[in-house]
Amino acid sequence: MKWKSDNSDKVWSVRLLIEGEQASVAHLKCGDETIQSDVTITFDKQSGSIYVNDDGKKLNPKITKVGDSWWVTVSSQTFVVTEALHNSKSTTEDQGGLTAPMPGIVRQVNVDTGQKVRKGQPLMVLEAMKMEHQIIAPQAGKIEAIHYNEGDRVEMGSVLISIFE
Amino acid sequence: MRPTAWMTNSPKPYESVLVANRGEIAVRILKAVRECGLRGIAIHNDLDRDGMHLEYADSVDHLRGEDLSSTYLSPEAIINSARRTGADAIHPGYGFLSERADFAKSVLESGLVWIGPPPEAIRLMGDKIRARESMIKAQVPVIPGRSISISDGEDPLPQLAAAAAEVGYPLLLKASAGGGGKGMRVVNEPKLLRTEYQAASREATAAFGNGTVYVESLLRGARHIEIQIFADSHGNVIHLNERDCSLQRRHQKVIEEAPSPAVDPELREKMGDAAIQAARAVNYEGAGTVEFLLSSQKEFYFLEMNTRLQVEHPVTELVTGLDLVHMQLMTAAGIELQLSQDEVSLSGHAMEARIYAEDPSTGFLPSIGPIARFDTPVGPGVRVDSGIRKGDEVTTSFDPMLAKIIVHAPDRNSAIQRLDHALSETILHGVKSNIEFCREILNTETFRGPGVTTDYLEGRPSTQSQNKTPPGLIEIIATAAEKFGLNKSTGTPLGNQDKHSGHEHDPFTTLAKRFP
Repeated sequence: MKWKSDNSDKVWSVRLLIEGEQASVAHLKCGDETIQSDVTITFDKQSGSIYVNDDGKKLNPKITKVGDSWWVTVSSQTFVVTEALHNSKSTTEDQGGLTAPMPGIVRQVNVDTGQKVRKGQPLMVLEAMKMEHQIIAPQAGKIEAIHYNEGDRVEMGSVLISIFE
Repeated sequence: MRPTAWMTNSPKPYESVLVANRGEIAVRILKAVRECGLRGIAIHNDLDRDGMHLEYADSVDHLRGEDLSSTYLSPEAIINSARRTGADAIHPGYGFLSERADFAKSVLESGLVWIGPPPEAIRLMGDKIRARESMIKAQVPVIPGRSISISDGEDPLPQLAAAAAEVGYPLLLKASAGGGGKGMRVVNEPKLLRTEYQAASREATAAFGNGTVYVESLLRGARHIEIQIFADSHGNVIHLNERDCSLQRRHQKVIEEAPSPAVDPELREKMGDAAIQAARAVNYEGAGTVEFLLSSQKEFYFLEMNTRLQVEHPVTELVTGLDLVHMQLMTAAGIELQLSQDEVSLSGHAMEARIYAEDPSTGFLPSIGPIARFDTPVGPGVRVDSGIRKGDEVTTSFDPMLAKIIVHAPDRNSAIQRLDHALSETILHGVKSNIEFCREILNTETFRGPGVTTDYLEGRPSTQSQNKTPPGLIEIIATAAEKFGLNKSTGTPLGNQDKHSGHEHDPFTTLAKRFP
């Protein structure tokens, strides 16, 4: 899963390996940088809480879901993280086209005008905040227009691709 | 509960009290009212139907309307509410109508008991220029200053320049009817005198309907020391020691303590006597606070008198062992003070942190949102006065001060330690707050050493505490929370939960559901 924190521009990407009520870190990236983490997590079904084991140190984070964000208090510090792909999804649906979730540069165009695409198919790669975002077809349809080429700079909210249902 | 014996036998007994306030102070007062066996009446407006204070009342009255001016700030609406609910007395709390002499007067004229000082004392102390004059007459030291009187259309500069020559630079322009930093301007050099005067006067007109401004010398590096006083209707006046409220941002107090690290017994007696003089000069009754500035040379000057219960009153309660709200209820019933000056004790050290809904990372802008979680500290010497609970919503309609964490310990160092720990156990989710900021201040060398002066926070960047957790830990925890489905247990949609239950596993939650 990808996360953005309230007080930093960096996007973190996390994949966990879950075995029963234990989780360990399979993959941890901050932007393009891969980070090694030996942190493990234990889920206590009884109390509905999770515990962190960090190199023999046991932490008991207090966590609350508020809207799309998680509020996490650990070692008496409170942080807010929000799933990073949420915004792009809602704006594309609102506008009936595919819009840029943040200002950036078009790195790759995977489709041609007139091509038929299926729902969930990757259409374009956008680089923003030193991170790559896949632009994905929100529904099946036919590509009506591609508004930007590779290397073009786009503003947040620019319509990238129009799809005809 | 049965009414207390002292009330039944008092000269002016009453049975019910309407609390014309909300939030933590309404909760605090309603608890005291009911502890005395009196009927507590709470009010709310359209935006406040689920206010926490309503839980602590025997009856609740709805003032129709959304804006404060037709509800909490309307003398007429509140007196009508008292009539409707059969209230005998009105306690104003702090803020709102608490320092409005005309309101106090209408309460008394309606035949109700007013739990506060006489209207004339409120009026006198509310006018800063008249208050200064009374203090000079009573031989209470005041900050060097001068009143000016500028009529419409007159060029203010000649009078301003004359006053400035007398008090010197830097100086402070202050609204006569002012408070809370409004209509207040610092002037460092003569050429800004006219424009700053115009700004102060405009601000004062907008905020208080009175553009009168006076000139005062600006004391730098001073501490804000205030003396809690208490007076009864039999002519007895005592002081309950000082509070040090030097830690302020934009004239808003953040951390308060008693005793002050800058006040020794001799100075305490001198300031206490001056405060008693001030109270006597206006025939004061009830709880009041005389604020002073204390210079680095230990000279003190009268600043103003607050004719009400203060936000930080618990600090005094912890070091004296008294209950100020009980004392207010007794005084209003005509009962004599139960202790003399010699019997006022000062035991240990107390400290309070105010929890504000504000975001230190955006320059302390107010923050809003749902109270999704609020864990409060418990333990020896820890007190929490709160006006919020899980399920409430913080909006821009009301004050951003949500709760106070107050501690009592044998000495100052252990009080700092205890407050730091209590704040580390205070967890607020859904709304940004200054909890971590308060802990940062508590851990500075200056605060731990001699303590701070009132300009300490000016220009101090709203530092953001260093993330002390391993890299990516928060994101790992959030991913685990999603994968293990924790949002199902902790992230229940707000509004659907039982607001009266403080705890998720509260056994009464299920009981209430079974027997609605």
